[in-house]
Amino acid sequence: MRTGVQCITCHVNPSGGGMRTEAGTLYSRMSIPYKPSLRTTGTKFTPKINDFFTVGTDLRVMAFDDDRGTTSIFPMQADFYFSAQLTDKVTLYHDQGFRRGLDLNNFETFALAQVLPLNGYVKVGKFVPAFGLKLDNHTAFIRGGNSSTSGAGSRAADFASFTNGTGFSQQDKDVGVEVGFYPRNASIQFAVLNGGRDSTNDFDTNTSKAFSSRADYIFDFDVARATIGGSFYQNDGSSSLETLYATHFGANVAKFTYLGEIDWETLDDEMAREGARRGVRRTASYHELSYLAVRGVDLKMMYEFIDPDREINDDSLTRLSGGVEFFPLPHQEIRIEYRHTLGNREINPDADLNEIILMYHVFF
Amino acid sequence: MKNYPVSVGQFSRKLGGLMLFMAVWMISGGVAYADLEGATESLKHMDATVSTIEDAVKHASQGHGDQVSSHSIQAIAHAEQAIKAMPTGNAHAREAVSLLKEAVVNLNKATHLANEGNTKKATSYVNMALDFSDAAILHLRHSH
Repeated sequence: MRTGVQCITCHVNPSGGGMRTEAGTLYSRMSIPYKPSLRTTGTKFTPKINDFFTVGTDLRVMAFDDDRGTTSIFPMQADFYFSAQLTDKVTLYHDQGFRRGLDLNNFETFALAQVLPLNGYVKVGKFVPAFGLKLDNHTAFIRGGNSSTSGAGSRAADFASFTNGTGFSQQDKDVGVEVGFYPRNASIQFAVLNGGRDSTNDFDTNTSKAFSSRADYIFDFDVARATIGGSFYQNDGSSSLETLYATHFGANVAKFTYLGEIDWETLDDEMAREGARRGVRRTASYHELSYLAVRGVDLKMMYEFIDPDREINDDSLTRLSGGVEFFPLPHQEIRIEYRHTLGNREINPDADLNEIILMYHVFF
Repeated sequence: MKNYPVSVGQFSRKLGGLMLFMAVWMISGGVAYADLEGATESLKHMDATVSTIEDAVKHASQGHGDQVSSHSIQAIAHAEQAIKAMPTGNAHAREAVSLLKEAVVNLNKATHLANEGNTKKATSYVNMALDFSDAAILHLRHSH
């Protein structure tokens, strides 16, 4: 949002996240860090092995402490990226997770053919569907939510596709086909998927498929930028119907950047579809305001909300977070963040929680 | 085979998704990027900026303070012309301008230090200016 460019500019995956493009690498060397440098040991740095093969990584190590007795240092992410430029327009992409050794289920892999009009592409393989904002924080309520609890207090936990958040986190990879277009400042994506929403399940056992779509537009006024967009996902599974809507928006003026998303989700099992009981209706939102104090130092505040089940009173959570992201040198980030979750702990065990997070992130 | 019909509410949601897509499609106008006006002119000046800074780097390594100073001043002039010719309303061009401005700041510092006879310290600023100028060119080429 700060630069006013689309995901495809800085990431090989057109819907964002993962391996960086040449422009992304350049941006992470010269525009993000406190002390920028194009060179490493006197030579211009490049992640390209040669004209055809490129590598990359995201390594996040986190120290975490909460007021319920959990203190841990752990590798939150260890992804290695590899891409092969097979022809001028066809790229093979593989993102392999190594967080717990060679995790054969934790990968994203696809062929990307940039052959459609309007800077369009076809993507075929296993990937995270394009939906809403692509945040690196997978515990955001609009992504996977807190992974520390089982969603107790929510009937939604009965559903096969249940996660503690409404949207798609990095774990929610699915197999399918996505097409995308980038006319002017717009981006539009459609995908047909198995509907697994689960990295371990590559095979669809029912005849119906999941559909996802995402579209947004960036208004660029040179001195300020704004974006607005929407997403839709529906999975008609064998035992439940999941429908998810989202709108995302953002703005950048001078050193201030705002990002927001609101999600609405419905989960209906066969009883709900036959009218025997009400399905689960969930709402989640995310708002982030950041201030670029100096180059390399970002101050951030976040407000999040989730109502896990509108049928249950007093089960909602509000999370307030604040912290600093410091990029001292190219490809390196140090983040410190404090989070406090408000709510009724008797109804929702995630409520009334204080957390401190310290993270070291290496990426290229 | 499904055992239940799709409700009117579900149909409306699918229609809503389709309408959202159509709205963005219409706003976008369905037009691909055209070449940016002024980018070619700006790139010419940026190439001149880089080659002049490269000369300054060579002189700096040989301890020629006066040459470092004069090449830095020439490079500043090229960079300023590149900024003037830069297209507006494009994120890459905006980033290129920001990087060129950083290059100018570093070249001014290099000139000042070289004039004071501190060629060794001027060298690091000239190198930094080269990095910023190189990065500016790459950004503009992405938009061009």
